[in-house]
Amino acid sequence: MIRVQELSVTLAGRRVLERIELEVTAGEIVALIGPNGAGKSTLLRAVAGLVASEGRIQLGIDGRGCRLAYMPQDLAAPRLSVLEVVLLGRLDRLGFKVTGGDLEAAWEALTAVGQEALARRTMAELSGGQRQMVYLAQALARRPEAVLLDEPLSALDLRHALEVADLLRRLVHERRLACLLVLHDLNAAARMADRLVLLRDGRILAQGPPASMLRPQNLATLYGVEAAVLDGPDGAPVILPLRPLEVGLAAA
Amino acid sequence: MNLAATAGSVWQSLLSRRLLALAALMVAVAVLFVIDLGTGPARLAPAEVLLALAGSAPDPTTAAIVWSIRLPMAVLGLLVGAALGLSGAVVQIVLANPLASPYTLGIAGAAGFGAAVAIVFDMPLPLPLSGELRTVLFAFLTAVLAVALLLALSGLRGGRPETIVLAGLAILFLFQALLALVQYLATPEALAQIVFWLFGSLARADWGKIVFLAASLSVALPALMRLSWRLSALALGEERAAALGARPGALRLEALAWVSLLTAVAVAFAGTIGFVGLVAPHLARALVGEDHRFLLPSAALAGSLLLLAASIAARALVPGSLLPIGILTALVGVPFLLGLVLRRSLRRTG
Repeated sequence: MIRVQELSVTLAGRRVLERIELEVTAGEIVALIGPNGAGKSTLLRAVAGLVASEGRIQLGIDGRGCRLAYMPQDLAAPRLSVLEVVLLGRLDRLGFKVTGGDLEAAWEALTAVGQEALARRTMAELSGGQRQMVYLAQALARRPEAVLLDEPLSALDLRHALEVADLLRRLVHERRLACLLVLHDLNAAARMADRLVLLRDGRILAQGPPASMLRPQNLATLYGVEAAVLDGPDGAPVILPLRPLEVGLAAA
Repeated sequence: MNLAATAGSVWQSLLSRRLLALAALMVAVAVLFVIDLGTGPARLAPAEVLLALAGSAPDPTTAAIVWSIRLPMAVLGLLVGAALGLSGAVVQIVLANPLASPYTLGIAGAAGFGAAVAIVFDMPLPLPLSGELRTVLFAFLTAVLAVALLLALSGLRGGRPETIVLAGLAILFLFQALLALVQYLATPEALAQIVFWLFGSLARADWGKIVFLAASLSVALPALMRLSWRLSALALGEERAAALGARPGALRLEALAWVSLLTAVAVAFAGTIGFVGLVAPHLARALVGEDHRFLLPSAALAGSLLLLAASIAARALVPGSLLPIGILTALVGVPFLLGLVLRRSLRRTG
């Protein structure tokens, strides 16, 4: 699990996150949503230990620490084979010579995302969606207990986005992962996440289940847009953005 | 087939492809080494060279040519090429820049300045050294000074690539300016010596230098190989490498320290031989990819290959003379580089 208490981050003299309180339990998906510059990615990076922060970040039960996998947004395509990239997920355990245990973990992760056929291919030959899957396998190869995913659906077309969203849900629930992710697509967030955290200007405005968070009033405050919220065929709310609001109203 | 067996067989096939490429490079280097030994102003027959190597030369002159001139030059070429190729591969991944080379860091510029100072000023030294050794020592010491400066400046901001490149450029310009100043003050004879030194040449090869460079390589290569997985992780991007536990800042500084040592030694012994450190890593990457466990030794071999090819070309183009090899490396390297670029763009359009 992930527990964040009174977390603040200052970058180049500017307060980017202000006293964040957040908890993600095992087997739960929590999505951070909010406008550009709200501090969503910075929050993930702070939890991953990549930026200096004040406050407390507890990982694992009773803060005993746990294996963490962080997936940034960029999808680098080096001249490495897919299997090597997945193996690099185990960087902290890899010896010069790769052991059977490392290979097995990498292969299992690649199978879990259904991409074992790509194992010998070079990353540079793959499509954005395929790279996304490979990096997901890399994260799984660490055998993590908590995963931090920055925009995991961004490079994907409609079909692949649905597939990866379903895959993620299944993996998180099967493996009891604590999953904190950033999503721009509100409809994807509504379908995927157990809980949404609304972030604006480095502060949490509200958090709760998607149906109670995705309300026209919240969207107006968060993004400054007028949006219709409809009932989706599978029970999840569907967001239909209509028009930007006047600045004064948005700030209110 | 079970999971482990499938993974194992896929991994084996990947490995054997890379090992094959590595072996092919070794064979190519060995062939060029032999050809290099067989060429030179004294037109020795291949059989004579082989006999001399085996210790039964037909006459003392042949033995002297092979053992005191050709073999040291060929071996030094092999080692300098390996040092520059290896350094180039590390510098390119560490700076995340395919156009970087060991010389980007300003180390060669510093060595050139040191050599020029030794040639122009007759400073008293506590050690009785010949003029040539003095030049080598000065070149090496200023290169080490530049390295210390580079590491100190780069370490200030946690070893970020932008900082390292800028620090390297600052050092390069600083020593270029100082070199120009020394050249301005030099007598015409000294100036000619400096220019010749800067060309880069294997003609000053001797066994002492060879032992020193071989020792440096045999320390630096294993040390860098130990970092190879973390270097490979850098190819995935800074953030991801950091999250995987590669500690990019510390990694850069450690890798740079080894590379700088190698470059300083290579430049002090052979002058500034350009292009090898830039092209060899590209050649190696095209052959074995970016798994640095294979890329580092391949880049070293590719460096040797390029340098030996340039050495052979230098003798073949102007028979009877020993053209400084530094002039030839670019001429030999450019077709390699263009070949790589064209092959890649053809694959993209095709």
